[in-house]
Amino acid sequence: MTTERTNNAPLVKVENLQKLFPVGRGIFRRATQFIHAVDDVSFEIASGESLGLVGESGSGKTTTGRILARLEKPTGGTIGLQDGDQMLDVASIEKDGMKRFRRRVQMIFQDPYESMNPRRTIFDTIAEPLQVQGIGRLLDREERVAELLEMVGLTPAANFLFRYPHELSGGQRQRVAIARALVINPLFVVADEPTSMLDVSIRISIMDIMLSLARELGVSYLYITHDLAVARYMCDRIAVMYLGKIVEMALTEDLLGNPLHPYTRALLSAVPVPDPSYQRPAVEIQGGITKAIDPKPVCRFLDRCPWATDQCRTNDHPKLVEMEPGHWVSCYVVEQSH
Amino acid sequence: MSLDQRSSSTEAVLEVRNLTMHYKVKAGDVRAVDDVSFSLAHGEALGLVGESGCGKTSVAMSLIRLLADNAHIIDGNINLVGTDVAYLSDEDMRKHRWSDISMVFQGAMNAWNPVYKVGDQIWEAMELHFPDMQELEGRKRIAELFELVGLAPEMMDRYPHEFSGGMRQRAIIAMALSCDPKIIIADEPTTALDVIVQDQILKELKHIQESLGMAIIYISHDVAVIAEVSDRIGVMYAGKLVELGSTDEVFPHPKHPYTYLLLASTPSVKGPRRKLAPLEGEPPDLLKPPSGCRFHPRCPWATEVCAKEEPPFNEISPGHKVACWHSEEVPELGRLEA
Repeated sequence: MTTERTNNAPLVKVENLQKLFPVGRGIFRRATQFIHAVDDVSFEIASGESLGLVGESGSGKTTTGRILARLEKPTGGTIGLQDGDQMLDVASIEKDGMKRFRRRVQMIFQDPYESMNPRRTIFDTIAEPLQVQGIGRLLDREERVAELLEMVGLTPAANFLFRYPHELSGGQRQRVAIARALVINPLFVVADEPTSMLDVSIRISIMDIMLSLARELGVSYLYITHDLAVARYMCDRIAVMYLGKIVEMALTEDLLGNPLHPYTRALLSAVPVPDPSYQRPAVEIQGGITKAIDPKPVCRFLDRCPWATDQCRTNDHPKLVEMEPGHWVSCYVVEQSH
Repeated sequence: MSLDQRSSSTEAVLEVRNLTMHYKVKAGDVRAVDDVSFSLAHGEALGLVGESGCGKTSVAMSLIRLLADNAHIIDGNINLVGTDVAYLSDEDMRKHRWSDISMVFQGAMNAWNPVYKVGDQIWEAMELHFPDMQELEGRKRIAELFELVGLAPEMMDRYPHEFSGGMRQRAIIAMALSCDPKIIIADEPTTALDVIVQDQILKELKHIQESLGMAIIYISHDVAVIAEVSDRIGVMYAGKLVELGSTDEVFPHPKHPYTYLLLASTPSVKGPRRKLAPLEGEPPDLLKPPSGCRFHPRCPWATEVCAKEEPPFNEISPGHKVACWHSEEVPELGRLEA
């Protein structure tokens, strides 16, 4: 189900990524407050690896993904993308570099109904990246698109090439979206909740297609989801975000089997289990996630933390520290006990 | 006719027999609910699961008799606390709706009118049912309901935008409880909520069910949610109830292939990381449903008889009913954890 992590240089290297959104800005009014959507986030993704970004709505996971696909420009920090023997500086790409960047990085969106032009055929939709990049002649493109359709299970391809999105079901459209993202052989794909709008039975076939294509084409994913069970199925590693910060990051089974951060523990114990005989542990935290509008410099989780000590109340947000090999946690209390 | 021993006792608050409901559209009749029978005991929690379009919401709307103009109950009975409400006039139905059976609609938390205080909106709904009630008494009642669902009573004088998503849903539940119903239908009550808030809402509903002795019908696409909150589970496919039994029985020993595949394709954070079984194909068009068993085109166990004859809804063990010719061939799923 999972691929071995390669030990080469990382494919993606994110350092101190930051994104601020102004609040209440108007024509004659300058923004005085900012939402700290992504705040000092650092992580790496190896070639062929799938990293899950998990968190509640408002945690900054989608913003992080959109920055990595350069649909947003970061306020600060750097993103390196290994392209051949070059390191692309993703954060500073301007118009000229964008075309090359798009050839390497693609995105799959949540809503298969909104992410396609209803007036374009399936062939046009999938071939668009090839056309923009000027790859191949029409006949080559047709062959390539047909090949991709077969790969995502829309067979026979000839039956789908010249249909329109409205003629397809949600699951079929999401297959088209995957084909479109992978048609130019990208190195890296940001997938933002690609299965959350689909029915359970269809969800698994979409996840299986993404997993097998990752293996065949050697593509890496940043897989954004609110669902830890889905992340477990899809990802080699998981990073948990809370109010713009990564609070814990580890190999999938380490994170689920031995969650260290109090927020990860709460999140995990809140997930319903499809077995009526299973008794979940009580969720230790109360309340809901707020917004990180000019947050105090202390730990972002302080208000809801069942473990908070004086150290947490008086110090800056704790750094992400490697507590066990490959298992990173940002929490003073966990640090003390390790 | 005591097909369902446990709940056909005098304790049953709801008895649905052979319910059949069609939507009339230009192209013909959409057979959305076909020959559905089940009963609900006093204080019991029944979960209805199935994919979008399987008819679970149509069943709910038939029970509370809030059907679209083109929807018609063709056949069957709905015995609600001693009255058959299936064919009552709108005016007579009004006496039962909200006071005998009430509903938390899918997405209702986003339907609060933004310019009125939440308490005033609940009072407006209550006034219709309690024309003699004074406003002061009504406010007292709303305060009690707020406390019951875990909201501070002062919140009744606040506007919807001052509520978080979870709080808005709690207020919706308070409104559904305002006329002391015997049955409450909760249609996807936590679908739009984050998992920690979902956990809080589900606990609240369970607490209300137990403390008020109310019967609940949960409608969800998420079998894990149903596993947690329901005593019994009913599985719907293409307008048919295909399996019905206690959750303790059905989850480890599903007897309908669709139930088996639905459960086997649900990822979990607990138990072994297992290969999930995809369900091939798409649900059928209910304008012309498949002959015989409606699931046969997608069923791995289907044989000739399945395409020809519709399987009866048989009781295979006390309280466990299934509509399948090959139910003894469906494998065990077992527990997620020993």
